[in-house]
Amino acid sequence: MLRFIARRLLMMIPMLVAISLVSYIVMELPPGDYLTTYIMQLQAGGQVVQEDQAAALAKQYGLDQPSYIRYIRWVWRMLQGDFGVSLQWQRPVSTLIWGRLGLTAAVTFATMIFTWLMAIPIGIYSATRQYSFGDYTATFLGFVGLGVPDFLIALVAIWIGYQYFGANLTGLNSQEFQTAPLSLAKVVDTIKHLWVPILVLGLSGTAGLIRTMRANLLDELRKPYVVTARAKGLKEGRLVWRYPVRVAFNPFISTIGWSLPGLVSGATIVSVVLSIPMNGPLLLGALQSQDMYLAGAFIMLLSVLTIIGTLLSDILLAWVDPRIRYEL
Amino acid sequence: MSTSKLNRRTFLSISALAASSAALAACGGGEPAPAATAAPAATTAPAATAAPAATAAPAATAAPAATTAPAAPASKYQEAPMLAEKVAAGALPPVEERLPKEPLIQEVVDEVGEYGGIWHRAALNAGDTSLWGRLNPEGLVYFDIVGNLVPSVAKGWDISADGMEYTIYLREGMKWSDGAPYTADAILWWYEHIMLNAEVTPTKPSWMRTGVGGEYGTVEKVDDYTVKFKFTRPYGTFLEWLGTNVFHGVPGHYLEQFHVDFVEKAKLEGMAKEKSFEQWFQLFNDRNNMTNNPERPVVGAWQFITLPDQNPMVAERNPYYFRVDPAGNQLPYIDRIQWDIVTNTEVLNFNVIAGDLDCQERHVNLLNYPLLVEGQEQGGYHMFEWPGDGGADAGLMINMNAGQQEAADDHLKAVGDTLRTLEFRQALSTALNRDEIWNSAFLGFGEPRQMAPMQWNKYYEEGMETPFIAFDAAKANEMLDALGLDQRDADGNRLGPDGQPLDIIISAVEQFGPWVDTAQLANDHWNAVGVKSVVNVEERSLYYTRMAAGEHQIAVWNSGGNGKMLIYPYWAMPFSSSSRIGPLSGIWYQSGGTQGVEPEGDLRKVLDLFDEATVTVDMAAQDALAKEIFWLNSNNLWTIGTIGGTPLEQGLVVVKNNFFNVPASTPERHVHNEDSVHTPANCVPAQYFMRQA
Repeated sequence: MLRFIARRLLMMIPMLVAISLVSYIVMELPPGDYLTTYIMQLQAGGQVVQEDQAAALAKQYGLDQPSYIRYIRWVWRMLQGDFGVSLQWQRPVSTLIWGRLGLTAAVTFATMIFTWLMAIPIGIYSATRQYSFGDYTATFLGFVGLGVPDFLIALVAIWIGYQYFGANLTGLNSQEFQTAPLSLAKVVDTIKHLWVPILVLGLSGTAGLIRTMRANLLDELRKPYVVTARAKGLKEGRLVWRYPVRVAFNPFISTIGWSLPGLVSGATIVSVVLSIPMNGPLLLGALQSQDMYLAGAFIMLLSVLTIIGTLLSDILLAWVDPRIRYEL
Repeated sequence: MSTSKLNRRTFLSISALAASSAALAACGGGEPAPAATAAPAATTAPAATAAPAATAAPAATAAPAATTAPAAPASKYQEAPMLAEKVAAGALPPVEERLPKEPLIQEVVDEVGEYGGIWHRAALNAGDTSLWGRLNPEGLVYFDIVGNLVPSVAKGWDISADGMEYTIYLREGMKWSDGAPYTADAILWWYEHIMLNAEVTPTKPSWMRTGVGGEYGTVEKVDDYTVKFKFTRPYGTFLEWLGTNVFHGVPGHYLEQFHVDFVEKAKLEGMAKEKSFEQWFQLFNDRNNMTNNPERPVVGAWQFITLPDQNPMVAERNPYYFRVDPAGNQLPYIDRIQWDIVTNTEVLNFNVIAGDLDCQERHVNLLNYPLLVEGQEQGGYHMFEWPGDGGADAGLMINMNAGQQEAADDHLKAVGDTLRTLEFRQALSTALNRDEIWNSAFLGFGEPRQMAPMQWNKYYEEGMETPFIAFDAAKANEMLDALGLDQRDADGNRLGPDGQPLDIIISAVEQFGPWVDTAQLANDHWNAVGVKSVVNVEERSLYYTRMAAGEHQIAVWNSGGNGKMLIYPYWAMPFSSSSRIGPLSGIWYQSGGTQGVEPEGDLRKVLDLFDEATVTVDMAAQDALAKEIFWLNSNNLWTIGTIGGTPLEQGLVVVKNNFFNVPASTPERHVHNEDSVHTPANCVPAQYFMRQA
């Protein structure tokens, strides 16, 4: 087991190098760079930027050197823990990402809990009462949640909030609380705004989990040991939860690792629509304006987290399921 | 149903997790979570659905109770109550000492106002001009509501008879926001340590020289409150350039701690590295930036008290601001401005409609007009319309360099040659059904016109905006036939001079206006007369890159800036690579003839006229030259205008009902609305006020 973990950690290094190369190349692919957009914005905003001034700006932003030199310097600084300064925000990248990390992690985590709490009981119900009315209803609602885009649900929620309740559900806090110090009222206000993204994101995630749970559990429920246990007099509820569910749970555990990167930059579109200051819009903006350092740092961070997350999933799975442990 | 045997431990840990998530979020970054409140989203039905508006009420909360400031008998000036408190506590000098000896007496639009309030605005990010950039008229000189040049930070100026020397008189006793005196040293320091320092300013500012070929001017200090700008050629438009750049020098007394002329370079580089910069001048520019650095002293009405990655961004009044109203009250009236940083313009528009913003004009989408009207009562606001001074709000700008870029093949050259034929452009203009564009893309705002100054503008002469705007498809067909484009292929598309179907690409971006709609309609109208065209919706940075490389054939944009064309010239001539009508010629002009494509004929003539106007001091002669430039544009139709004079850019002003002194735009007093004057800065937002009661 330890050898397995060590091997995986060692493999991480070449993978990260490859990822950094690919992400850098992809960022450099679009024509122009951050400056092109910036200069045009300056000119659209009334400042005339001459050609030689553009060259000067390039020097100031450090964009005047050839591509590979910039790449090497970027990697070198990252290894020292310096992620550079965002060209767009003119603030250190680490401050920007860290500042929003708490909120992003909180929303993503709450969404995950919400999704699981919804999906697992419903999935189990669907499997044990297969083809019942409840099963069909749950499946139908799940597919609606899956099929309708999450940002559309968010927009409808905003509209309903405005039209029927006169409330502005966008943003993290209502206006009065934006600069107010932390208080119970502020927490309540934040919850009032946050339930929309959590609900919206939760709804879309639920359907897939319901169907997965249902399918796996149906497989298990047909197995001989379940029949034996029933014959031996084990109560139905206790039986289902203690044995088949634990086995059907495997796919959930193996994908848990992928929610780790989500903690850093989850739910981009919904947070753009709802104007919640999470990391998702930050990454989107960085990519759109070719803000090399911010986008690059994000991508590297997400890659590291994905790799670690997958590793954690594998370890967790091995711990939970003895069959896998044996194969290791 | 199988009931889950949720044991107590599991339930408690889930509730705690969910509650701490909510508390974490409410903290907004790092403070310790308070005792957990009731678990929210842990249950299936979210608790807070039916919560009605705690949100609709805007306006002053933290501001101290404010009435019109009582006239203090001892002094002829009054100040805001929040400042009076500080003076009483000894933290600030009294108001007479904070104001200059001759403060600028600012006219108010409606009435003398009340102190207090928080002005809620919105912006898209830290670089958005909806922040300070649009509210700050503090150049040495600036523009007033109708666009005339007036004193601002400076109290007056003299121009020498030959136009080569400008003497600017500053205000004695004026101070920076940290209390240090504002004197001629501010400008001198800028000249010696910024303009002349090659690392901080590798290329000197273009407005300090008399045109592309001119030499850079020098700055001389006459005394503490008088500065002279000297040039080697007459410089007719210098003051307007000063205004549009909002130039007033820099706080040298604060900045010298970051400059290599005063501090050892090694030490500065250490400081730079601490802030993740690589070079000392990157740190210097960062510290010199008002938005990034709240500690930097300013002369404007408000000063930032938050950092740019905080949301909301907040600015608070500057106790040393140099303007007073006619009753002697020190401006600004409003205590604080608070900008909500939203992720996209749709959310911003929604906040406007919901009545959450007190006065917002930037990013308000023209096409939301019906919604804004509907929401007036519920939102508690009313609207002003400020028609723009640009002249063409969705101009079809024809690239006169089309096909002249290096990689162009023969077909592109043929298309380019056709576009360069005047009668062809006239035919294209005649084929446009502007009424259709007017009603569907622009909701009936503005009027159909070519790209020319608006009728109220001083550069306007009758007839500039009317050539070829009447819709006549039959006539267009005749004109195209007469050009020799009468051969058609099997689909009915006219064949170009090279025998292939003439196809034109119209490039547009999604943002900023109904440009894609306009492009689509133009496309339909031109296809109807046999000119094959296609609309290419480009992503913004791609649009810019292709434009600068001269790859566009027809590009859609608004001509923002014709009202002040001599400081905003790139719509009326190939001034630079962002002049859609000739980017490659713009490169030729800027590089002094060494790169790019030399323009010919009238396209060259407008550049010469511009150079002449720049060195013409007599205002009447200057205006005559500008008018000539516009006539050349009208005669040549380098831009085919569709609709102009709409409130497209910051033209729909949404104002809450308790917010006053915002000017309405009337035929007698037209609010100059253009980017060159950073509207609404020219309305002096410092004299806006919010009624407290």
